[in-house]
Amino acid sequence: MRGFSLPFARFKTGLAAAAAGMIVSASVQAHAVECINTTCTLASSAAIAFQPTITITKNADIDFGTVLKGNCIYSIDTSGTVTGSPPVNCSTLSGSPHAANLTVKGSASMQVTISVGGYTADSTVTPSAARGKYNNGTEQAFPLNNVAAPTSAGKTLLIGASVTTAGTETNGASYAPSFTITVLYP
Amino acid sequence: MRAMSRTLMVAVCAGLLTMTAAPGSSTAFQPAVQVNAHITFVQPSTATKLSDVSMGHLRGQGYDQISLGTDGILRASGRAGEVQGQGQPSVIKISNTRDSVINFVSSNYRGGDGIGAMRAQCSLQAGGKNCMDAPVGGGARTLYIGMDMTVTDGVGLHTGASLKQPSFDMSIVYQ
Repeated sequence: MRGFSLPFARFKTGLAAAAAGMIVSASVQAHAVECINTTCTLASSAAIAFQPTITITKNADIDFGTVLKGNCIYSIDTSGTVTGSPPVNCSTLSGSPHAANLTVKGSASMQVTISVGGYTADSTVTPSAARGKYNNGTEQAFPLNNVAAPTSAGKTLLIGASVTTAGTETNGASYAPSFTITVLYP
Repeated sequence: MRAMSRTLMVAVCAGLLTMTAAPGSSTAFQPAVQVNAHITFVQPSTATKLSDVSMGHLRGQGYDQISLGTDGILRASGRAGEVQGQGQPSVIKISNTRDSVINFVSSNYRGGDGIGAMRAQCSLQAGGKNCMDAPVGGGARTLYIGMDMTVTDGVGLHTGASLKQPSFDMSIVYQ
């Protein structure tokens, strides 16, 4: 064992961290280990940087409020403004509409990519065209590629979307179509 | 031999770590959250006019002001003195607006030919408090519409087809 200078403890630490959900941002380089009798010497060291796991906290879902029943497309932007199309028959009536509000936390240095998928209708109410406003930037369609590192303090992601309605919905009833937001290190 | 086994062990460990580190290689490392889009629907309310405003027959001339209350009482005053009679307010049935707050708004007054300025009045019960431009809670409603109007010197005798029918629109506006 004497002279065995391989930083094996770091590898063990890395494995434990990975098992705990940490993201490793750099792959390990191949190592040349020279052993003479019982003495081994590490020819090069491995540089490993661990990035914290990305977490997403949902502070609020989207809420369109109460709208007129009809064959419509209702859209809500990230500022919470609801528009109906066609406007003559499709308008918002009451409530306090707002966009979804998420907090994304993670690396202080690695950018992230935010994508959407898994659009799921609730009966005749079908979601589509989600749009995001990340870190107080410009509202845009997903995916949001290589946007600012979320940091441990977290960055805000506001989300708007559209829903298509058939006009056969139950009067006075609430619906909750959904979709999934995923955040990844590129 | 021990050195060889350690070398192999290191290689195995490095391989495992490289596999684990690949971003997106495992669903365990894909933070995702489901976003719900809540939306509530209400049936568009309807307004059904059961009757128009009717002031009956006014005889004579020179009535400067004619007012028909939501209770149907007609009051006319002007150069020919004061007259009181009975008319008929317009009655409009409004379907259930549920929990929405609504306003009643009058517009598009059409008079002419001796009928001057007009102003509608409304109440949710005959002769009740004026509900024009005041927020009202939701629910099925019966609206009684009266009106005030000014008769000018140009008014003449009108009967039958030439009966003058001034009009205006009543709108339900959701807040």
